[in-house]
Parts: sequence; C-alpha cells; structure tokens
Amino acid sequence: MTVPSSISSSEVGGPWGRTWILAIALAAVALGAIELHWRARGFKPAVSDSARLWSTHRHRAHGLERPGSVIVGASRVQYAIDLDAFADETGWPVPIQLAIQGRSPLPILNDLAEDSSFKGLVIVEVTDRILFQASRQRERRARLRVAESRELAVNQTEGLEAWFEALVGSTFAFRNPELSPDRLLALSQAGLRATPRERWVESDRSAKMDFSRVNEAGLEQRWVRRLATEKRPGLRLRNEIIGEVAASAEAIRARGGEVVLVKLPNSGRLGEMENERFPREVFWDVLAERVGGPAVHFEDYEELRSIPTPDGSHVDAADAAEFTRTLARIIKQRAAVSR
Amino acid sequence: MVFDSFSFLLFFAVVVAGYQLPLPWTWRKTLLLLFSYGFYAAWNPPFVALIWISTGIDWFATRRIARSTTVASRRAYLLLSLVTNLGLLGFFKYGGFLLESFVVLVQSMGGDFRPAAPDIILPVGISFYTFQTLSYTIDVYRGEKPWPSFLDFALYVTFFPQLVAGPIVRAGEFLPQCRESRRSTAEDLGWGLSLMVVGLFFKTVLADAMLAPLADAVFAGAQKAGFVAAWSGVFAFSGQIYFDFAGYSTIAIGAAHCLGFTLPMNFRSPYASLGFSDFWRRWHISLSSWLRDYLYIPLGGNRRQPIRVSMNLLITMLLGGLWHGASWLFVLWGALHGLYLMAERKVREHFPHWIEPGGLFGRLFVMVGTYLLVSFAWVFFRASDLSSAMSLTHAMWTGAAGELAVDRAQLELALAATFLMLVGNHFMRERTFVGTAHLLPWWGRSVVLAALMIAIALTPGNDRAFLYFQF
Repeated sequence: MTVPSSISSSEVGGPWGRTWILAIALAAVALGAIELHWRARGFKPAVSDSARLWSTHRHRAHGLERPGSVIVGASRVQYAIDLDAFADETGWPVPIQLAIQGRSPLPILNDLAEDSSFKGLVIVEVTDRILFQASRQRERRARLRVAESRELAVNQTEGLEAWFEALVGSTFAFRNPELSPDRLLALSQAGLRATPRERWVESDRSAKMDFSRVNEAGLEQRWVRRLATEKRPGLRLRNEIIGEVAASAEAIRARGGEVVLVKLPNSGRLGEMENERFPREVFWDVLAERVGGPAVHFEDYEELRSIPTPDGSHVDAADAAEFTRTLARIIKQRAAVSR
Repeated sequence: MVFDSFSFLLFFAVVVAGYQLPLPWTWRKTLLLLFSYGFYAAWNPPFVALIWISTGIDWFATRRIARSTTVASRRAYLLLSLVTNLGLLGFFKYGGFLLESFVVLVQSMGGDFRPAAPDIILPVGISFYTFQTLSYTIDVYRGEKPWPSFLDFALYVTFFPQLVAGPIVRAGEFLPQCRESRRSTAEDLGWGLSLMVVGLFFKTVLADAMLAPLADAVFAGAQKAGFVAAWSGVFAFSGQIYFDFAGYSTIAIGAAHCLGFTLPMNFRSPYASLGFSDFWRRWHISLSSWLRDYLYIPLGGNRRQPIRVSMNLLITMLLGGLWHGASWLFVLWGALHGLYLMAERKVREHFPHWIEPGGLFGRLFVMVGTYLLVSFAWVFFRASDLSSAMSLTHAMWTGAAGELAVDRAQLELALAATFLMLVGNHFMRERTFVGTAHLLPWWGRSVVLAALMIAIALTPGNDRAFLYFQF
C-alpha cells in the first residue's frame, strides 16, 4: 500500500507564519474600513430572517406550556408586536415570534398542533388575503419553511450555529443582508446608491419598520396593486381553510393550550379594498365562530382602531410598544375568560 | 455540522488544539477517532451505529478472508461485507425509491397497491463511507494484506474531513499514514488553512452567492424558460455544483493537511477537459476511479468486444448516476454520460485527432464542446422532475422564446463566476495548486488569502447545504 502523491505542503514552502500574519492584518484593516464606511452611511448590523433563525425559535416552542405563547401570522404581526412590551404587560414569558412575512400561518399552526409537547398559547394573526389566498401559494411557502425546519432540527449544532450567526449579524454592519453583492449590483445597475432600509429584523425575529424613511403612499400602492391581482377563494375553499384552523385549534386546546385569533388594523385605500374583497361577515366572523375561543378584531376596540398604519397595513416601530401593550391587555383578558 | 459554519470553525479549533497535546500517537489517533464520531453525531447521533456496523463487519470479514484457505470461504466473507454494506445503503437510500417504483409498476398493470410511506431518513455520507470500506474489503479479497491495527482502520473509515462527502479515500492512500506519529507543523497548518480558505471561497462566494440564485430561479421556473434563460441557468448550475463540491473537497483536503494527513485530489480543472473520458479523469476523481477499479474493470473494461465495452461503459455510468441519488433522473444523467463516452470511443477509433487536436483553436473547440454537453447533462441532475428537465431541454435546443425573465444582477454575477471558472480551469489544466502557490512570493500569498477572506466575510450567510451531502 502506497501513500498518494497529492498536494503536499512540503512542496509549497514557507514562511507561513509571516504569510498568515500579513493576510489576517490586511483582511482586518480592510474589513474595519468597510465597516466604518457602511456605518458612516447609516447602515446598522442586521440579522438575516433565515430558515435557520426561524427553526431555532420554532425549536424553543417545543414543550412550551401556558402562559408561554407563540405568535403566528404574517408581516403585520411581526412588525406590530414588541415582544418585551408584551411580556412586560402580561407578566408572561417573552413570546416566540414565528410569523413569516407574506406566508400563511396555517401550516405553522398545524405544525404546533401536531407537536404533542406543545401546550402553550398561540396568537394567530389573520390577514384575510394571506390566510384565504385562492392559489394557496403562501400556504405552500409556509409549509416549505416547516419542512426546512424539521430537516435542520435533526442537526444537533443548529442552535449553536444560529447563536453564532445572530452574534455576527448583530455585530457587523457589513454582514447586513441589505449589503449583499447581488443587491449592491442590482442597485448600481439601476443607477441607485445603497441606502439603509427602513425595515429590519432582530435576533428575536421581531421586525421593525421606520416610516419616517418610507414613501408611505408608494408602499400602500404596492399592497393595493398586489391585492388587486389576487383571487378571492370560493366558499368551499374558505370552509376548507377554516376547518383546518379549527381542527388545529381543537387539538391544541385538548392538550391544555389555547388559540387566540387576532385581526390587526388596516386603513386607507388598502383597508377599504380588503374589507370589500373579504367582508367581515363572510370571512372573519365565520372563522371566529367556527374556531371558537377568544378572537380579537381591531374594529371592536377603539384603542386598537386608533393606532395608525401609515401604509395601510403595518404599525410604525415607534408605535409598536404602545400598540403591543394595548393588544396584550386585551388578549390576557380574553384568554383568562376562556380558561 | 457543515464546513462553512461557525460551529465547524469552533470544532476544528478544538480538534487542532487537542491534537497538539503531548500524548502518545495511539492516544492522539484515538482522540481523532472520537472527534470524528462526535462530528458525525452532530447530525444525527443514532446513525453513528451504522458506521460502527460497517467498520466492525469489514474488519471481521477482511481478517477472515486473509485467513481463509478455500475460495468458497473467501467469497462467503466478501459476500457478507457486500450484503451488509450494500444492504444498509439500499435500505436507507433506495428503499423509498424502490417501493415507489414498484407501486408505479403495479398501478400501470392495473393493480391497486397503496403501501404506507416508508419515511426513511438518509444518513448523511452513507454513500461515501460505504464505498470506502467496500474498497478495502475488495482489495483484501484481491490479495492485499489486511491492516493490523483496528484503531487505524476505524480512523480510516471515520476520519472527519472526508467522512460525509469524500474524497472516497482508498485504504492504501490513508492507512500507511497512520504508522508514524504526525503533528500539525507550521507548514501543514499554513498550507492546510490556505486550502480551507480557498474551499470556503468556492462554496460561499462563487457557488452560493454568485451562481446559485440564477440556477435556483431558472430550475424553479423551468416550464417557462426560453433559450437564453435555460442556457444561462444551466451554466450557472454547472458552475454551482463544481464550486460547491470542489470547495468541499478542498476544505476536506486542507483540514486533513492541518492534521498532517494527505488526502487525494478530487478535482483537476474538469471544465478544461478534452472529451468525456478526460472529464471523468478530472471530475470527482475518487468516485470515477472507484467505479473504474471496482466495477468497470471487473465487468471486463475495454478488453472485450466493442459492443461489450459499450455495455460496460453504460452500466458503469448508469450505476454511477444511481449512486448520486434514488431517482430516475440521476439514471438518465448517468445514461447520457454513458452515451457520451460510447460516442467518444467511436470517434477516437476513427478520428483520433478530433478529440485531442494539436492547435489551440481546435483544443478550445473540443473543450467548449465538452463543457456544453456536460452542462446539458446537468439538466437531468438538477431538475426536480422529468417534465421540468424536458422543458429546459426543449428551450435549450430549439431556441424557443420563454416568459421567464432572468434577473440582470443574478445573470451578471453568474456570468462573471462562470468566466472566472472557465479561464481558471483552462489556466490550471496542466498545473497543480501547489505549483501555482509556488509561483507567488510569500506576501503575494498573503494578499490573495486576505482578498478571499474579505470576500467570504462580506458575503452574507445562507442555509444552503453542500449539494453532495444529499448523496
């Protein structure tokens, strides 16, 4: 048996100590300069809202019991809820944020229902056009996230990896996903400079939107255009989706958990269109009745109605804590009544 | 634990530190073995038992083979190893696929057979370590002496740099290195870490950040792709899979070097190949040489009648395709390469100068032709289903217009990486990493390493696993 001829180090030659010291020094100086450059331009460290990060938080929900709570839904609830304010107001543990922007909460709710160790409180945010999407495309994308999470959960070092990623992501501005090479190239092709985005995600997966730097009207128009292209489901599909939500809620409640349905504020042209396409009495009321238990619709509470949604859909980061406290008080009352 | 992760950096630092402890060589090898089991257990602890089974059975079988005095007895122990290793591989990797294919067959004959879904988890790296241990048993069956140390053999099967995605190392390449005490010298660490940085750059910057976005977009929208989108997506995937897998192999070789071990090369500028037999001497070399030595040659190799040689080539490539995954698409990919090799053989017989022409222009023409046809074959490797593969094939060869819009930034990044790859492969065709590194002064290597580390640091991470982990 013979040793292979390969890429033997002895053929390369040194001096390796000097080579590596200079390489590390050059890299450190260059990265330091790049970090200062982006910070001077207003960029901050930001976490990537990746499947790994989501999976880590989903893992925390395993074995959770009341009053521990989990939030599922889409972007509205991810931007609107200040997790610390929720915990402070209710006296409950800090909730786990599992909402995913643009994806249906249904597969996540089903996943929690299938997890026999989960006995916590689930806050299900209902955005009609997402939960009741006729093509169920948003549902498939959420199901994919659940599947990815199950695959990642097999790996014993996922938690450690997510911790490292969050640490690096929240330390260095140059790791901000907004500064990825493809995005910078796309901006330069459009003749634009990279500017700090008004939206970002934190390591607890709460999202923030700073509307002082947003073209609110433009954003609202974007939501309106998107809504206009989406088909409304027929009654059969509506009933099917409602049936699935109810079955999952029943399974969670049977183990001592609870499910609270929540409808967050909308406003302006987008609000009008949503109410027109998804009339409350045809969608929300039927869902709330069929699922049973606590259900909070913003229209029923003056203190929720008064919170502004500058783009017709989302709460500003500056209002999130106040809004959360109000909503938390209501949820705590409603959940207590249901026990 | 994947190589491009923070967890691996931490793990590797602990391994290198532990390896430097002033302990006898046997203890340090034991430490390496335990770290290797820990590395594998980080995926799914119960599956370590499968490695123990393979290790134990092959150790036992090879000692019995060496002691056997009759041919029947030697064959029986070889059979024991083959049945155990291929049985485990067959169950975990092909169980679901065989059942699914059987159901389709029964239903096509009018039967109604609906078994429960088998729900089998594929143990990571099983195809790699199974082939590795099998090669040892077959070598002993063919007359090599079995290695005297069980510890060395267990380390050979489990050595963490090559455990989950190769290179598929032969016993003769690894075990003799276990004889004498090894340390991480400054030379080993300096060169090994350099290779790891190069491999990480291949994976995170070129494969994941520059090529994968376009490949993913085109293969996801295959049904709507036109000529330009289809070819650009396929070129992007050609580059992605090369940088992904060559990146993994380079990190593996570098990690082994840091510990004083030498692993064989797995890639040698494959996209500068002159023809398909040249391609298979340059792409995933440890697998293609395994298939050559343990399948193609035992089938008769090229010392038979032309028709039989063609069949041998086809069978080898079909099984090589199936090795990559339990899907008929992999079989089609293997079949396509089998046909390429058969056609090349015919051309070589009648027009030998066509495959390896003398002039630069002619060589470039053959290289580009090989690259185009190899890239086309990747369609069947990457497509999620046959219908998507056929849609892309149609768009690529008929010039059909499509509705799929290609993102300009993604296209430019992929083209830049593809250009870099083709020029780099052409430049490195007759060169080695060592020779190229040798050309640079020490400070020149520092500048290159710094540039690669900066690029890696500036590329935001993602959750993309190494493609070859699924095999």
